[in-house]
Amino acid sequence: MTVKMTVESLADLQDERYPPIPQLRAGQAFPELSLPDCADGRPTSLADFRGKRVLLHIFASW
Amino acid sequence: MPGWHAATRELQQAGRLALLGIVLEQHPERARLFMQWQRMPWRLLHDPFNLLALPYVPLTLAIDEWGVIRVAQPQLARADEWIERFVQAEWTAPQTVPNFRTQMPDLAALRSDVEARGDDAAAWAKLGVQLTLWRGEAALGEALAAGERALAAPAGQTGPTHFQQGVVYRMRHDSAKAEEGDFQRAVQHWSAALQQEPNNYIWRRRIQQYGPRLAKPYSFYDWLPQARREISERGEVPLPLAVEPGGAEFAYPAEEFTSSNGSAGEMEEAAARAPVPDSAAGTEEAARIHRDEGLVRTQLIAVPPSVLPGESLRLHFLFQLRGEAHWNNEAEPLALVLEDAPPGWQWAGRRLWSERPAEPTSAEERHLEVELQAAAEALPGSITLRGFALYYVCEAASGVCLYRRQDFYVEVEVMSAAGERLKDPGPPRPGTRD
Repeated sequence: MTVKMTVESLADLQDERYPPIPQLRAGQAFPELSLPDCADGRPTSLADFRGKRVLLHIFASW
Repeated sequence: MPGWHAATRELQQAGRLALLGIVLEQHPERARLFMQWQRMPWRLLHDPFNLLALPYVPLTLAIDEWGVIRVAQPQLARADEWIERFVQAEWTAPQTVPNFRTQMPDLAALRSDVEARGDDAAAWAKLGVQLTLWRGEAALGEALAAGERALAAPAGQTGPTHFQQGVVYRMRHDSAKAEEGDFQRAVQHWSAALQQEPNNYIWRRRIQQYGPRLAKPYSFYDWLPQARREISERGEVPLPLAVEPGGAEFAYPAEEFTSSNGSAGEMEEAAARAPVPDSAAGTEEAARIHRDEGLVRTQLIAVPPSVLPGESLRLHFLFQLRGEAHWNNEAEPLALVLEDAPPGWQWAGRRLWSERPAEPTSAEERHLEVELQAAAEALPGSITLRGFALYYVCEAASGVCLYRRQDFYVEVEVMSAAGERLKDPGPPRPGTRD
């Protein structure tokens, strides 16, 4: 079954403990950004995942 | 983050959802070790500069197949409710599908473009970033020069560029091309960035990582020993770290200034293993020890570089061997002796000892840390604190071994309660007197 879904239908899932980040709101394209892969230094971006659904985590281990 | 991994494991295994990480730390291999420990085998990218200008981490984004963010900062507690819906949904393609492709920047073209633009601060800052990301150690000097051009240009956003310069200076400090003063310059640039935007969580964390316990929100890397132990118990080899965390990075926060460094007890452990050097017990006797004439270079780094009355700072002492010199480990370990602080000022410890490796000789960099609290009534200006190090060092592999002393002084700048901190990084404030 395929579900047609709009942006608004998942917008209420934002964790309200964190303030929204204007440049990274639902409905916006993720910025074009190539970064080195920590394993081998290879340039990598979200474009390498085109066609896939991605859960992106930006974090620090501290 | 491990919670997200667990919540999406089946979708990942079925190839219906990809997980991707971006780590904002100075040393990305620490995050890789964390991911190895937590068995999270996703790709991890490194952005030491916070190029997305995030005000905080962690940040989670659910992104569709066209690169469009569909859920920003979702709630892990409601993961069961929405992840399957996100994966199943037929997202409408954006009117303009981005045609961005992963690519290395053309650094030669970037250089030419920057020269042509003249005083374009953003262009110079971008050149510094790209050189650092893609040329690494070989280009850090050029990246720093580009950053300086950005800072010198009119109407530039100097906060992000100061943070960028701090990152690059610290990278060079950790590299084979390290230059004296790199670490202190990094701290000064980070401080300058934070002064412009005191609410920037990412910038603040970078200074707190190396700073005093009173300013720490938590221990930054206390998970690391457990991670290594558990990885080893699984029969795996823990991923190596390019730079081992120092005492400040393990230290737990304190609500009050105490007479212990609290750096995971490493000072106390070292002291318990090593006898107190006779010559360190009394400064009068120590004064007669011959001064080192160039076998060991000492660097002092103050984090933060200036304090308000009553605040504390953490001093990092780095002892680096010159030429073919090496430590003599069959004698006492390196001792650091701090002389009386002015009235109202307080050292967390006044006798510190370095680790002593098991092998008879070694050539590692030795790193000691101690905290200092400014007097509550300290007046604005700078004060000078003094101390000395005593160590056994040999001139070469088969050379003469000597017992030597090196004196140093630390100038600490006290800001007025209403005043501003250091505005522009200059040369390092602490220094050594050979």
